[in-house]
Amino acid sequence: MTALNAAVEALLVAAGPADGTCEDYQVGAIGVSLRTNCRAVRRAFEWSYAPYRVHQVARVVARLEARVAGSWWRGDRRYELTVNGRPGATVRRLDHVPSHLEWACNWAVAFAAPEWLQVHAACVQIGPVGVVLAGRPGSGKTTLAAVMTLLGAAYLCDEFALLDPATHRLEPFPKAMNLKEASIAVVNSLSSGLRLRASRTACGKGRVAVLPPHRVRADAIGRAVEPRLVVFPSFRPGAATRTRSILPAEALLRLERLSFNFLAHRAAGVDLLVRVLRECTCIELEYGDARRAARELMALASADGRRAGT
Amino acid sequence: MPSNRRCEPASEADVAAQPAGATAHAWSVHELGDELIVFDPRTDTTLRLNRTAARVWRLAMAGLRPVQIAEQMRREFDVDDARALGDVLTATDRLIELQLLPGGSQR
Repeated sequence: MTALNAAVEALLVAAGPADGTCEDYQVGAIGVSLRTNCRAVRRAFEWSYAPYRVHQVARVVARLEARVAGSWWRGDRRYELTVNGRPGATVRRLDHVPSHLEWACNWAVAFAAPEWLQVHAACVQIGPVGVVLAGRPGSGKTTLAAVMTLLGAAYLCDEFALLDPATHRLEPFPKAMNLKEASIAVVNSLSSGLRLRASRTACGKGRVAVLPPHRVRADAIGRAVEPRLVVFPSFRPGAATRTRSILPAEALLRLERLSFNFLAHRAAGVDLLVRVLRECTCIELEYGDARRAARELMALASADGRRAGT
Repeated sequence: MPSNRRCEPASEADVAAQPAGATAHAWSVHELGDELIVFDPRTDTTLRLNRTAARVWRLAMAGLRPVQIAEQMRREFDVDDARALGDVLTATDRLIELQLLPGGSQR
């Protein structure tokens, strides 16, 4: 290596690599650790997860590692990601690393946290009422969760409903929300301070804006709560907001189909869903305007909370 | 099966009973609203029985024959004999097909 090469490499190392230390984060119920030798990766991760940093988590569910390797000078600079000791991805661009880490974290939760019945859903909390927004990608779960959080709900998660078989409660996993381009304008219209922009490329979602709940407001993160309102949203551009009650048995079959790990629970999973759904209002929601739909859901949940309180 | 009248809910004990001749395996059965959720651990299949099918299943599990079930349904749902029996036979055929009733309970 020439002296010039060495100088450039030294400059890049000073700007980038950290000492490879490991930090722990308690993201709601999920313990995460991140080891990295790249300061930029740490900074990007901490932009979303700094409030969750703890000295040590009781149990690490997602053990993430992002190691910068190769040389910018030689053109083989890369970020090697591992999750729970397994090779995850090799990423060429730094701005792609945070979203890969989040997906690695999702993957780890799906495979390393079987104690909860996991359903593909976003969840928020309105007073004593847990709201489950269950659906496939593109149904508008994250957008509704973000808008409801901006309107005053507490945020639990945008990807998982983690149902605890012992308490029948939803456990929080308040990871940063990944908002697709179509949702960014909606969120920005509700908050002049956020000014979100699509800054990342997320796996399977295209360009996204990242919205950590603590950046909405300090108390925007929810706690374990009993689900009382189960919603199956479907977004259709231009559609009027329309809700339809569905029977709890129909809701059960839908939640089972949307579960990531039903086969880890089987009969106990059915039993859990039955017990949860006996206490829930279940609806189908079609909407084209997320603000209007979110307000309607907030009103429904608040009414349910008042009924529960009387 | 048409009806706008509510069925009498069966107790959990009724629901858990095994019909005579049933093959011994444990379904997991739950009442949810007016309906039943049945989980078959052999196939990891969850089934939903609407309230009419749920009533037929409960009565069959209690050992009643289709004719007796039809008579009970006729009283509860206010339908005529022929229709009640037809609906019960259709429901029991389907329940047997799903292995929720043993074949011998058909007649």
